[in-house]
Amino acid sequence: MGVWLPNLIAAGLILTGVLLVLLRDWRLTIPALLAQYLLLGLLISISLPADLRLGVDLNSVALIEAATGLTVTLLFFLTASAAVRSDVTSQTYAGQELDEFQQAALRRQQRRVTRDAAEARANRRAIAGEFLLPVAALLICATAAYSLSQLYPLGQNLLDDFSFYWVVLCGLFTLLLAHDLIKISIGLMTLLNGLGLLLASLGQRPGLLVEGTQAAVTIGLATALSYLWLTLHSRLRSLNLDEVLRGDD
Amino acid sequence: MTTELLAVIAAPALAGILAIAFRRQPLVQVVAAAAALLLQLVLLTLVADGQYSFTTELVLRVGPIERFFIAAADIPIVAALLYHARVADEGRKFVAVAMFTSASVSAVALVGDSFVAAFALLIASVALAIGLVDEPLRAVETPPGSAPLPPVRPFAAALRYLSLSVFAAVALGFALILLARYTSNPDQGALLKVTFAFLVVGLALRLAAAPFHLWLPSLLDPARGSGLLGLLTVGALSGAAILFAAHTLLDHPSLLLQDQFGRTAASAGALGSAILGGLLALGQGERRRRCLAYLFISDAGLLLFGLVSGTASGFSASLAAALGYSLAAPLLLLSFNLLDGGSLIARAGLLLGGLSLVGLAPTYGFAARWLLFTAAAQLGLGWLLATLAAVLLMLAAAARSFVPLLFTPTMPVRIPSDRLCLIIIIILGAIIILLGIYPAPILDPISVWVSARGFLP
Repeated sequence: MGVWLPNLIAAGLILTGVLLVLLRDWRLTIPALLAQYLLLGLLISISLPADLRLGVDLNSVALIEAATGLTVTLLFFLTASAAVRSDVTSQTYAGQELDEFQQAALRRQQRRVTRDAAEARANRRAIAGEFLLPVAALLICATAAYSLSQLYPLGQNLLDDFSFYWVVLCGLFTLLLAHDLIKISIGLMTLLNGLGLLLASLGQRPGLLVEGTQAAVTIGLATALSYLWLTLHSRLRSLNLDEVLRGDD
Repeated sequence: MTTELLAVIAAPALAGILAIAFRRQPLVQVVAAAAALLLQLVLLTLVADGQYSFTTELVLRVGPIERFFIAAADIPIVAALLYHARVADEGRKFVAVAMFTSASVSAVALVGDSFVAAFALLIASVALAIGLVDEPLRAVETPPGSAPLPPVRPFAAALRYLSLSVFAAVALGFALILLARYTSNPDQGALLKVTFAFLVVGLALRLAAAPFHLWLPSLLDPARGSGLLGLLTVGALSGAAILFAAHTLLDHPSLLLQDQFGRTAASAGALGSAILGGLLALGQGERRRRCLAYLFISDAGLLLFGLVSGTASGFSASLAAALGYSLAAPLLLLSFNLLDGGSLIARAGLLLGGLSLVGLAPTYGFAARWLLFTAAAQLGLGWLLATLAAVLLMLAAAARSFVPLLFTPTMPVRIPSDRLCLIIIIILGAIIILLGIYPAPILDPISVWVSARGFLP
């Protein structure tokens, strides 16, 4: 294996980071997250020696990482599709039937959300700089990741350090620039990917217990976030953060 | 013995799953939960002290401190379960959250791997966030005369809490990975500084020390979260976070001993956080739940100061204060909710809980606080004055917000008065006073455990 594969993986991680920060459509960001997981698995498999013999030499940590990524992104994709497809107004809350006044209040709230969302879309189209903030954020990410990898080298080489800082910073900026719950969830998952990247860049093999716990917690977190999406969407017909945080000081 | 210890973790987790399966049958939920907690405590008593290997990776340890923390975390959980048994519609996922919290605290206490412990804390946070958004409609305050809207605000509290919990887990994870790296190659001094910084940030997020405190006021605000679920968080999970920190710092003395600048900076930051929390609490006035939240935030700063001060007294103070947290949190919140009836017992509970939280005699809080003052005095006069300032600010804030309540029966949140709650208040109040008068059964084992490591002055 030459030097091209680590370089290719680093380029892939940079590209997925760009897509996650820049794009808003979950049909694109969720596959980008999956690509990030798979690249991470590939990076781990070339950083750590193989420990599984299943016809070919495999790395258990890389396999767990890839399987976690597949599960998480599949869960997100199915939930987002279900939320978008769903046109059923929720008539219960936490198992309690809503009376007609409560349902009317719910419909009013949903109408307001739809109206606000349409206005926001119109405003965004009018503003040429819709991507200005994410692009500026990416420039900051690149500068900060390069500076940090020079100032605080943690791993075995500069490229690994840069990849680690880049992914963590992209996760942070995805969270900061998020407008909806899906983007928040993707940002959190990207941050958690930072742990795997740090291990890979340091060349440390975590035990199966540690790796299994991390995978289980990541999938549990993704399930909880998916539940939040569905519950909120059934109430508001929107996953917009402005609605979630409205009136919350 | 390993099987018994695994059962200590698995029993409440199983009860949590049962609580989800039988979510419409509160009696089944509470009976399963009570059985799980009882089994947990019995098994803990039966297993002898020591380390037990289940596999090469999974090592479980048990000793007086681990037992103490699991029992301390169970106090708010049991108090809240008893309350739930009578007010069953208070939150139908409530028992499940309580049980997963108990399982997480047990895992943090017993599992030797710190990385697994850090993720166990995140599991409890995930359960809590789900519980928050599943609150019933009446948990949301709406203007008089209007139909109650489906609650959206708890989503904000849940999202905030979940996000900051993930931040904490990631920060602690980075710290532990870098610590393992440092242990295998101790020449990298810079790595130790970064490790310590990540550890302190992760702990500050977990304990809700300012400026990482944003999730706590949301959780305790009834319009956004639930006081009872928040109670579990501040009571049980903070204790687990303190034990996690104690294990990590005592197992790796270099973290405290070799990074003098980092330790001083972290101590100053923690005391600054305590003072800031006190000031914010003082500014709340009539917003009493928010004041209570900021008092917990101020206390979190003092807990953090004890852990990073690098003294045996400070360490013991923080470990001992975990029990104070577990006693004061349910006492304050239950008393606060029952003030409506003008009950004398509720007023006495509020007074005792407040005194213990601030750290005044004759409550247990004073014993823990005294150790903290000793630690601050060991570091120098400036540190002692800053610690005193933080405690005085807490006292002033508590007096400003809560003393009027002791004389006029005002009513911030309507929850039906219940005799069982009053009994819980009496029991918790009695424990706080008894341990305040005679704290040796708690403080002595803690001091012995900390001193046994030998490296702290």
